[in-house]
Amino acid sequence: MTEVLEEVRKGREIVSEIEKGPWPNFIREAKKTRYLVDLYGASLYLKRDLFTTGGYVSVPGVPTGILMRVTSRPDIGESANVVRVLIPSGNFMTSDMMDGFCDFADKYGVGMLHALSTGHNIEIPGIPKERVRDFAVEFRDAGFEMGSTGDAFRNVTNCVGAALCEYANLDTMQARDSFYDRFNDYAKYPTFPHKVKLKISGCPLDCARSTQKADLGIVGSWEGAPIVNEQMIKKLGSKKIDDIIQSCPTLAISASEEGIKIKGEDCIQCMGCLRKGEGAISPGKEKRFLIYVGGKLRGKKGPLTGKLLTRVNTMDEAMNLIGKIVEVFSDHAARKERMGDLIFRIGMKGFLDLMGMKAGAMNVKDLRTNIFYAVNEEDRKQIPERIVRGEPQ
Amino acid sequence: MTAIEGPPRPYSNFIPDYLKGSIGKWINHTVVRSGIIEHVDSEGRKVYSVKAGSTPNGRYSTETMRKISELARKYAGGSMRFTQALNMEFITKDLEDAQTLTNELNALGFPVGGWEGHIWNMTSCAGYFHCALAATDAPSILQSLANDLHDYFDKEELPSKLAISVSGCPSSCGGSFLTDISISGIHTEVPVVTDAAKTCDMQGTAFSCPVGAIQLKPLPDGSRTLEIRANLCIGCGLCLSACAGIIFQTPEKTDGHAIAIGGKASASRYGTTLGRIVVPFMPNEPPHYEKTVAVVRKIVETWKADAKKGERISDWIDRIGWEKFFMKTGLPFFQQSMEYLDLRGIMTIREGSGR
Repeated sequence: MTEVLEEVRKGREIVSEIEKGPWPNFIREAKKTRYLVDLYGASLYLKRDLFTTGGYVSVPGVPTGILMRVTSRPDIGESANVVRVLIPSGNFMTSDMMDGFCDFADKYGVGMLHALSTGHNIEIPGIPKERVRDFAVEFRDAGFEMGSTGDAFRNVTNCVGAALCEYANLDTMQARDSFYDRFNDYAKYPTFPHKVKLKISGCPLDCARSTQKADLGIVGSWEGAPIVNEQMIKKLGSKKIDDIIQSCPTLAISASEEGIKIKGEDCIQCMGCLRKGEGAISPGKEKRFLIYVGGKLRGKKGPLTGKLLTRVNTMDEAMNLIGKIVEVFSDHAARKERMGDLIFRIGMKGFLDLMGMKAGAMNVKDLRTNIFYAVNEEDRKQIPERIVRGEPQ
Repeated sequence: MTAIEGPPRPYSNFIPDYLKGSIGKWINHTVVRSGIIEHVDSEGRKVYSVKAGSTPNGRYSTETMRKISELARKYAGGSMRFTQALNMEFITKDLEDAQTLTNELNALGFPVGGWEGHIWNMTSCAGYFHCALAATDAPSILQSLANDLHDYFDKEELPSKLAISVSGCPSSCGGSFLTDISISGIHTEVPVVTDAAKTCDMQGTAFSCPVGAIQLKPLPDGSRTLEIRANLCIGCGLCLSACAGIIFQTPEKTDGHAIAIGGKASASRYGTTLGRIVVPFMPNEPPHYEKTVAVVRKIVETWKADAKKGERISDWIDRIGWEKFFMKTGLPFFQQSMEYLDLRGIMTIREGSGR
């Protein structure tokens, strides 16, 4: 046995400390595998990331899905490439499928699974460069698909939706399936200026984080008042009914003989009463789909929340719009510019102009407070005219 | 190659059989106990979902994963899912199965909990484990936090939901700024341009810089390279992903992490909020990160004692204001926490940046 490097020895001490404790532990898991815990320990001791990105491996038919990772300390440990796997909608997996992933991880990887990555993919780490091709061929033969890397549509994620949730306004899992039926080429081939993420939420509570973590978000909602089940609401008792009435931020709910009455035009679909209603209140019948653009956590201008682009009435319209938005994004964004940064640069009005859409009051959070504005001839003519005609938008 | 296109579809092939009849018909859910939730549909059918905590960065050995998949086969209709917060979720047909499953998961070392007034999720990015950009090792920080706060996952009650996330760099892959308490690694050093940068898209790299710190520099031989003006650099690390020729290579690493609180992903009532940075810098001190854990614990306990039921950290701060927040927690206020976007929307942070 050759002598052990100092950073490895110190690293092992740190790692053995992390291994302790009651919460499920990733070091304890890693030690059951062939993962290079020594390399990880050394990086903790050196306080330095010992991996760098490592180029590409060309595999026919697999343009995305393989992440190359090269160690900068080959004397401690070898490189560890990662393969990203697309999994079924809602992150549902059968036991057979999981066993299949485990078999591949044992055969080609280090016997470790990353379930799940924060982008909701399964990852199989530790596949050597020479074996990536063999892996990809066998993996695709087994009926699985890799993806979600590079400047393409990253993995589309969704909340559980109608499959398990009473708040859902749409079957989000069906929506994701139909997205891949239609836009799989966008997801497979990296052709955009930067990555594009789409997340689909079933209700305005937005469990899928589609307004913050995704460039594009589809959120199911409705128009008007939620539906109140009169029999169930009476069973709740007066104290809980009071709670429901007070939960409304726009004071749209009032007490009535049948329990409560919700004024449809005042409802802002905030879900407050639905959460207090214990099943007595459910989303309204007239469904709407809200399209959000430009949310992100990373990128030039830091974290930005998505902005409401428009509301549409059917999922087909929503998907058409998604197709159009990514075309505009492809044409106008600079290289490595996220959609949120593009909108920051050209403004929401600029983006709406590119989309060929007219700005409405739903596109703004607040109005301009700065009085300086170059009013041109066109404005001087059409603003008074529209006021006289009484055009709302 | 007989390849499928895209992820496996349709989803109905992958969910338990007893869910199929109830899709779109759910009317209510109630929490049986922390971690077990009962769903009722309009025809009176019931299923139970069981939620178990995961390892900080979601790494499992195949040995453990096979045991988990066996549990799903035995109790949950041969199928399981991962929630939005990356916890494991099993859907069982009756309560008895749910309780047996809970015991078996506990025996495997996975706590069952995390609904209503508990910690919902703790997620981190890969950190030094696999990532090439990490400034800070996220999973080990989260491991220390989770070991310290695990009672709030399944036993002790909190005023409301609490979500925690740790990311290794400002990219926030772990989900920072969206959780009540989020920790993000920050780079403190200025990246260095190597010879390999000549092969990059230089204009694109210069454009990728949010503060305009990167410029093209002509060399005596007529070619050009990139130059990073150190007094402007804010350490975002974006140029590293735009150009592989730019690297961090200071021998002594001084990177650390910042603590932000009050992020909220849920759009309910007053809408979403992003986290705000209360502690601008904490040093990386593996293995146990005692200082960071102490700050987080202090915030959680003050919030627990002071907040009204149903108030998340952001709601609590909206009610009491930042001045009272710093007074109640006893944390010092740092001027580095102040917003630094100037009128032109340009970020300037380093003193004497000369813009």
